[in-house]
Amino acid sequence: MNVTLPSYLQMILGLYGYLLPLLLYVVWSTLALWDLGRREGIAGGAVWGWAFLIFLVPFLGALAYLFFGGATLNSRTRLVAVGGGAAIYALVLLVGSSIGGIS
Amino acid sequence: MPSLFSVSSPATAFQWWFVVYLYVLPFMLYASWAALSILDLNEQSTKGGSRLLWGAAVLLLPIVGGAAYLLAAARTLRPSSRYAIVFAGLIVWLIPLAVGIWLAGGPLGPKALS
Amino acid sequence: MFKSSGTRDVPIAWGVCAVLGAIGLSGCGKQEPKLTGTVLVSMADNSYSPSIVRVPVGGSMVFINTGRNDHNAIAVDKSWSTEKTFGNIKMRPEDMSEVVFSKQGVYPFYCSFHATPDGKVGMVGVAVVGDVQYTPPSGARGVLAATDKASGVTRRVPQDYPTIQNGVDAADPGDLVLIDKGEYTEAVFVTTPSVTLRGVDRNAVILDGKFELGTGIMVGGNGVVIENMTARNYTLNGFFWTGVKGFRGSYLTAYNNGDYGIYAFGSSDGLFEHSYASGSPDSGFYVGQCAPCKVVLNDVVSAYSGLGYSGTNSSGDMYVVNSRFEHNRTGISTTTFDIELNPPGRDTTLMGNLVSDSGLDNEAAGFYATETLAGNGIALVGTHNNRVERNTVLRSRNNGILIVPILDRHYWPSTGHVVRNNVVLGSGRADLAAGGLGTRGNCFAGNSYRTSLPWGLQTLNGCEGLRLPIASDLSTTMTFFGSIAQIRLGLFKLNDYRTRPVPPPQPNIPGGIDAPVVPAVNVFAAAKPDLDAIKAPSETRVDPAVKP
Repeated sequence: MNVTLPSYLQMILGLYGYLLPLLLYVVWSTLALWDLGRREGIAGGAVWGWAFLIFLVPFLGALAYLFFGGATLNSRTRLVAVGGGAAIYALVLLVGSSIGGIS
Repeated sequence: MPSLFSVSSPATAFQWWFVVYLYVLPFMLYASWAALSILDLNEQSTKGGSRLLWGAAVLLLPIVGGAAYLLAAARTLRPSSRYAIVFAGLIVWLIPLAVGIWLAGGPLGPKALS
Repeated sequence: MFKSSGTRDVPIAWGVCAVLGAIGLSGCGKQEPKLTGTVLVSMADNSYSPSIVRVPVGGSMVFINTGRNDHNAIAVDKSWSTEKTFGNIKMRPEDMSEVVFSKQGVYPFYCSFHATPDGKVGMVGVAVVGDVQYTPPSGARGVLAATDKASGVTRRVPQDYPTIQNGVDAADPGDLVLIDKGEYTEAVFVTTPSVTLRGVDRNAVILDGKFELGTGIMVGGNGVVIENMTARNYTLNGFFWTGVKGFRGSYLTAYNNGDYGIYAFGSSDGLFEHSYASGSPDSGFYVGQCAPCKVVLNDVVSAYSGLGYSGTNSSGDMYVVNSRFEHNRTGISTTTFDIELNPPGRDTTLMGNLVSDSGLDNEAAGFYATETLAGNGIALVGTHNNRVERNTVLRSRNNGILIVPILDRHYWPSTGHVVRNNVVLGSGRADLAAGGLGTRGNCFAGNSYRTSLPWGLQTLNGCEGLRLPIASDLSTTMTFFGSIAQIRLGLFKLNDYRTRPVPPPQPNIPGGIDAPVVPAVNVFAAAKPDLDAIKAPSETRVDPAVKP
């Protein structure tokens, strides 16, 4: 009959676990679209193609553009945005699974 | 010990369609177009009231505000790319949305795919 | 409701203390007991805190209603009450009323809505004024002990006793009070244990409160059984048990009563079966403040009420099975509130129930508190470790099965629920919804449904296998808190409970007046349902059913 209420850390990690995938999806896609929109010297058809890919395939479309689509954005910025975001999510999962009780 | 690779029951096609086209994609379009518009507004040289107005419109009118700004008033993005960004997004969202609603006889209609 | 103030000890008024101390009448400076000039007494749902109150002569008690329901305090000898101006005997939530005591003595008092007028049963307290000796009566209520055997004595109303109350007052434990056909405008109090009250015809023995009397039958004795009759038009409850061990309501009908239809508070070891409640603004059936409850609701119907079934802070061996909850504002809810004792609620089992048409623009009654949850089929609000299995939840305006926290005086997350093998269809927002911070440990498996928020609740929060921390969604909590805000702004419409649809005639107790008389002793041991044998209801059509 005993109930353990979640601690503040568990509640926050649970929140991040839900929010982060959504947030990263939006941030990476926006970053890709931003770069796509500002690029000079790219054919019109290619722009449309990349735009469709970014919208159609969540996460992977944006990542494909950022790393294989000839993005003009500083490569370190790209790595930090993508790697950092993924690392934070991994950290949430790691800490969450070690303290338990977040899902 | 629960396995990472076993799933208790797969999501159905309808559930997938429902969450993507009625929840995630609209949210994504709102957020990314608002962000792009804000970035563009930030780089505009002319300061003044119209920037504030556009900023409010982009944030307060989901999707529509951002699309309007990108099509009509964005400066730092290439014109053809702007059309691609807005219309690719709208096509990817609205066509499967319409098809799904038609197939189901309404968003939660009696013929909703199960 | 979400902003009630707590009790505080009013600091001793040094002036009063000094004066009274000078004439030796107060306890200033003494250790025990500590007499202060003014004592704050909080009225919760349903108890006084403190319940034994000492004040000096000339001191006062300030009653403050910290509950959600109306209360009052009236001296048993009628020498004082919280009614300050004529006609204001009701203290609404957050009302305050001060009573000054100028004469020394011991004054038992009671709440006329939740206690017997003799001050012995239910929401009662004692005011001890001045320097008098007072020892509370030891042990539980009553000198008469409960018995599990029928005595064989039948007392007939009105043949032997003109009123039901007369019959009850004359009854000994184990007796049967058999009530003949007719309409009785009575508010009956039962304090004798193990008495059985039975009507000869469920649909023709009617207790009618005429919207003036409070409760049809209020029970404060253990082991009391009420069967085979109807209670209607009371301003509070049809049938009400409070603070008892052992109770049973069978083949009862309660409709258009102003608070609850069939209600057990602070009671354990009980059964409500084969009964029908409708048209209550709060709940048709309500079981509150018990831990462990050992209470079963089996084969009941609840309709056109604010909540079909509601259990607040009811925990442990609480079963609602094989029942129907139709056309209520919310079908079934398990909730936690700080104003009742023993939060949070937990360990309720909901199985084999049909919940339909919750919150649609229909004929249901309601009041402001139930409107915050309106539109949900099954709502698990700030509770824990419930089992929700093999239910069918159809056509809920909002969510089918909802798990959400509540913010009362504390924040209560909702965790650890098992939601399996239900059929949930046709919900306006999402069939399965989990909202809030700290909503975790819930698992979903084998349900037939179409929509869930967040996505993939059954896939990612399964009972075996993969569990990702995508357990809850903020939009669900936001919309719930939003509905609370909307209610506080008064933006809701209510149907008058007095004009709700009258139920059709209901089946009588098998055997009628010759059915065996079984006092309600060790009820749970016999009534506990065989969970594996419970089947899901057969109706699964989403299209609106033909109106009965």
